[in-house]
Amino acid sequence: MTDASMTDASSAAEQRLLDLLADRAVFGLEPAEEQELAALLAAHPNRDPDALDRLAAAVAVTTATAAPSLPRTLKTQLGEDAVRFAPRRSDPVIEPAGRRTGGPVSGRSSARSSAQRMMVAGLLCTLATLACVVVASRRDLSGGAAPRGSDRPKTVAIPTPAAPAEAAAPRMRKPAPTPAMLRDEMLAAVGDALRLDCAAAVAADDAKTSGDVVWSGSRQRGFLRISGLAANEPTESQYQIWIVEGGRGRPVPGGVFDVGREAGEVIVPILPRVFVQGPTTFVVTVEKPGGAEDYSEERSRVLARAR
Amino acid sequence: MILARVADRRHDAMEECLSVYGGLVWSLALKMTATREDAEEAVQEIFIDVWKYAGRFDPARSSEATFIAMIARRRLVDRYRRQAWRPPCSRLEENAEMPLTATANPIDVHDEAEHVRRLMGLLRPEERQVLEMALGEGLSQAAVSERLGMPLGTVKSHARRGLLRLRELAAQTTASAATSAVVSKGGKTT
Repeated sequence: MTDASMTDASSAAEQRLLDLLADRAVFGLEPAEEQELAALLAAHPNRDPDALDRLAAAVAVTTATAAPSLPRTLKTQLGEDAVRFAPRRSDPVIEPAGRRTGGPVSGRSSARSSAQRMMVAGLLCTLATLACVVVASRRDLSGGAAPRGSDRPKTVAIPTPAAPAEAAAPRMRKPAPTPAMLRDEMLAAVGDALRLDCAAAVAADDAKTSGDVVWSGSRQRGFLRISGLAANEPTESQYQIWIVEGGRGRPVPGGVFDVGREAGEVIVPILPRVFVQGPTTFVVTVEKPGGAEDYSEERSRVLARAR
Repeated sequence: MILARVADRRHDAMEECLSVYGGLVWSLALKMTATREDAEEAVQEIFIDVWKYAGRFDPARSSEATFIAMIARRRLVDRYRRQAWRPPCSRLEENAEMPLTATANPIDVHDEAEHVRRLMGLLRPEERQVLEMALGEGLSQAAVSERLGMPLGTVKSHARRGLLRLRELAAQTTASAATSAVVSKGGKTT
């Protein structure tokens, strides 16, 4: 390779790195892009990986000068989180479930134990950091979603330094509620929840396809419950949900899903990417894996229409 | 500096941090989550991140507000991408229990905000518009595309070019300020 072509390749990599950092700062990255970014950052160790994130944050801050106050219940919960994250000397050390060995620990032994644990935690963190450095990405600042559904803010898993085993392990989360549970909750609790019966879009499938759609305009989400759809091979095709509105020309994609061979009834969430004002019809089509950008009536299989 | 004391795990600093920056984080969460419950859960996760990473704050690089907003945006964008769903932004604020008010503890970000606003004014209109929607309103790429009737790829290009241009402008003004400082002290620039 000549010097000139090496320079060109280096310049292209540098530009790609900047593009990915900009994309990450504004809209976030796909997993494959995050891996690409991690590799580029490893090859460009002098580049500040957070510079564009800081700039994007500064723009966001300019719009937040009239911020709403934290709700009182949330502020109380955050205060409790703080105590769990960094126990005061006078506070009992909160052990993770299954690790508690006795009653509250006294202040002095708590502090000594905490210091020992922090040393171990520090070592574990260092080892974890070394192991992860090649694929380091901003995912280290994130975690999985916890279930929702009560009025009071949830207790989130706190990676307290007093629990070294958790320092290098993924956060423990409660099991997520199933779509069936969320659908039932929506029907029971949401005043504007609509329920529309499904019908086959293809006459030959009419007898075997049945189900319904539950939709909440206030929550901007819904659930499709359907049985009788043929199993799909996800590498070849997937089912896609579309939301048709009276005043909008193009149907809005509502997510893709699969039907397994053993599946009888499936319940899948409907998650539009844009605000849906007044849905009139929900349609299920068969599309390429990952779904399509544009709706085609020819590929429709199921309809749920508001009367 | 609150974050330096938070890094030392001081409870008074954590409480101060919640009082001073809670409104900022709540505001960002309301814009970028689907429901009030999502927003509350996100705020809890964000503050845990703030406490964990407070030691990484460098006052030479940004204000505390920007550092916390950066952590908040990362968490919120990750949550959004996991859930692959774009919420209606205004609905949450309309339903909020607490009225929108100026934060009780004003954040000292006005100089930085004014500077950023001035730089934003130097961008091309389409770049500024996309960045304002994405960063200011918290809209996803798809939602910006939908609202502007612009292809997804074009939205990404405008956002990318706008942010990189903003970075150049910021670097120029920093260099210019440094030059002015040197000149005012009777020094020489090279």
